[in-house]
Amino acid sequence: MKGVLILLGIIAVSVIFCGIIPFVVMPGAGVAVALPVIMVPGEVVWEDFLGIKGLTITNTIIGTLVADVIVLAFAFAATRRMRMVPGRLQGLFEVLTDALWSLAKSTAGPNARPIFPLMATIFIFLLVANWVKLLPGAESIGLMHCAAEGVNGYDRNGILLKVDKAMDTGIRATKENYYACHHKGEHHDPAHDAALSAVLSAAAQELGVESISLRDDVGNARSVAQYVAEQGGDVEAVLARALALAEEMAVAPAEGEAPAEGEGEHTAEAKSPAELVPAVLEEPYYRDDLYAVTPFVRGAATDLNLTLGLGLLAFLAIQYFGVRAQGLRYFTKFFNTPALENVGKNPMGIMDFVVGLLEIISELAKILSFGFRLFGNLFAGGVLLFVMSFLLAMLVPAGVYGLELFVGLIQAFVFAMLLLVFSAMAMQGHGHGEEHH
Amino acid sequence: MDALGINLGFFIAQLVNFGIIFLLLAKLVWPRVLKMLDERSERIAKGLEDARAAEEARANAERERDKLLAQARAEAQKVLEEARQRGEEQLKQMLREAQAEAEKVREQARAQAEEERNRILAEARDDIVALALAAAERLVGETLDEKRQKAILKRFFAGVPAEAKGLGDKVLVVSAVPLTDDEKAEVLKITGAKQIEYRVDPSILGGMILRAGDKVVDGSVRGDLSALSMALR
Amino acid sequence: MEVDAAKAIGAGLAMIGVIGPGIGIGVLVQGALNAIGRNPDASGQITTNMILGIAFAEAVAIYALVVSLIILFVL
Repeated sequence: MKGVLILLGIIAVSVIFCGIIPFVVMPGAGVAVALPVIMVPGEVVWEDFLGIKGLTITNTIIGTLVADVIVLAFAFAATRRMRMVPGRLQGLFEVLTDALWSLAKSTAGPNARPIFPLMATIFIFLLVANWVKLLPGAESIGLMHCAAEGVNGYDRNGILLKVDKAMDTGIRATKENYYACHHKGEHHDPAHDAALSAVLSAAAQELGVESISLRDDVGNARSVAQYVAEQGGDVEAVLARALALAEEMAVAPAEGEAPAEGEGEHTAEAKSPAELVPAVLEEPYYRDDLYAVTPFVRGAATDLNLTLGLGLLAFLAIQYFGVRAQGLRYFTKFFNTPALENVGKNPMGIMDFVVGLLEIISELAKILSFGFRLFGNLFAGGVLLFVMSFLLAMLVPAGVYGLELFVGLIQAFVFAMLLLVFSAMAMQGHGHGEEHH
Repeated sequence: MDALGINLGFFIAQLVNFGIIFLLLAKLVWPRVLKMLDERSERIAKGLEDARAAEEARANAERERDKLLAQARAEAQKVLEEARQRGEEQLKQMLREAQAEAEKVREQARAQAEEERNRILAEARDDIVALALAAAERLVGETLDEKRQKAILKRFFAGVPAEAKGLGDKVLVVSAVPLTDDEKAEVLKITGAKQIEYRVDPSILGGMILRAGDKVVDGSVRGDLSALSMALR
Repeated sequence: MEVDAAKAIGAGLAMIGVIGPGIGIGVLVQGALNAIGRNPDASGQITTNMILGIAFAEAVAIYALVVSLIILFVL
């Protein structure tokens, strides 16, 4: 009875918080949830961070740093004062270490000791990094940036994105939109502004409406001429009227413009509004108010730099362990010269040699395999979370969160485990394999 | 590559970042944790070993205790048995002693009783003898008439003892009744004495007594009675 | 717009590559479960190896996914 009531309570709360608020209340206030931005590269949060030129901070870097802090804090807090009777934190850390250590011992046997630190570090780091993106606020709270090309952008409403209806997918920004947004107000040309207002007034007179708004009527990536033609107006008449209007306006503000002419060098080549009118009428306009949120924190492993970096590190570590255990003999795995020596007796030696060469490729493929496995799982997990949250706002995302917890753990485990197995194989050598033939 | 976000700067930054984490953990954390784990498992193993040893020791002690207990019990049994035997022996001894004592006491008592009886008997005999003599005297005195007196004298003369001849010259003859001449002649003839004095004493009841100096030949009834009384006593 | 449509179609087609790993993972888990059924004592090691095998098979699916993601978001 009590359980049923609690369940009903949970459902009611989730309906209110995941259904009514985001789909009814917030759109009414103009601040509904915007469609998230899905981008493969880490999104830039700050360019030229702290004024240092070229120091770009992406949200995956921030995610990595957060994971660093948590891992180090956890590890050092747990092992700061080691006691024979462990506290909770130390106990947790020791359980983790013990599980990894017994795994390493059972897999690598006597070779476990040198492999263990790297493997355990990778495991714990990836575990935390994968789970960091599940923290509330990660991948959701961030700075508003001009929507990059291909990203769905929204107008802004103060510090929030302006979304007036639920399931608003925004407007996909083009390169020009991004440029317009990014360089908004930078190249402010009064003559151009005057020409534009003349064109808009002329078009409004032609179409018999009070005024025409670039943003709401003309639309994105379209020219005024296109709009007038669509609305059944005469483009030529608009042009003529706009030219007349521009001539009129040019006389009046001439004195006002006088000081401006002295300060800028570009004023020398400045054209008068009337001269600009034909171009202004035909040129497409891009909205400069398309914004998207760049979250502060994004899962570290959704950045290929990290995953491929770790893949490369794992690859190098495997080679290092192989050489360390077997010396230069390790490389006979790739350049199977011993098999070539007995070719007279055993013609299949050539085959063995070729297989050895193929090993090089499969060995190098490990970098990509390591990197893309981790990246793909985690990135797909993030996308899945977004998509699920927008398809079914209630209850289901919670299940997906659980799945993501599991995926994060499994991927960390798989990465560490593969490193362990490959290293153990490299250290053990291929002598065993040949004995089977 | 740019579209995938792969950028040499970020790549190196991530590698360096992970390298720092790895070095920190590998130098400062993992060895300590592993050492602690080893130490703990060692200690647990030792603890288990100790516990096992203690268990063994306890089992040993228990066995020892059982053995000791059994020994003690056996010993106690033995001691008990011995004690019982000794007790029995002692009892027997005591019984024997008591019996002996009792026997002795009984013996003593019997002896005493015997003595007492003897004494009493002796005393009684004296009395009886006295009584019997008194009765006999009275009886003899009453029954000794003339004839009997003569018969007694005659028997005396018939069996006069030999010593009567050597009595000497002067003899005192005591008789219960006065002698006749015949009898006097007879006495003269027996004794062979030159001078004879005759005396009558009825207390001798009958017969006669010949006395010369310290020699006496008693042929009186009293003498017989006295002899009887002596014999009775 | 035609390019977007082509991208969507391409991304969808790329995900066909997931069929193989799906079947592979199914076979793998079937084998692992059979093995655990036969020898429940070895379940720990079998599970570990199964996860490793799944990771390998899944890697192929992930390649398809990455291709699809690249088509959608990068190209």
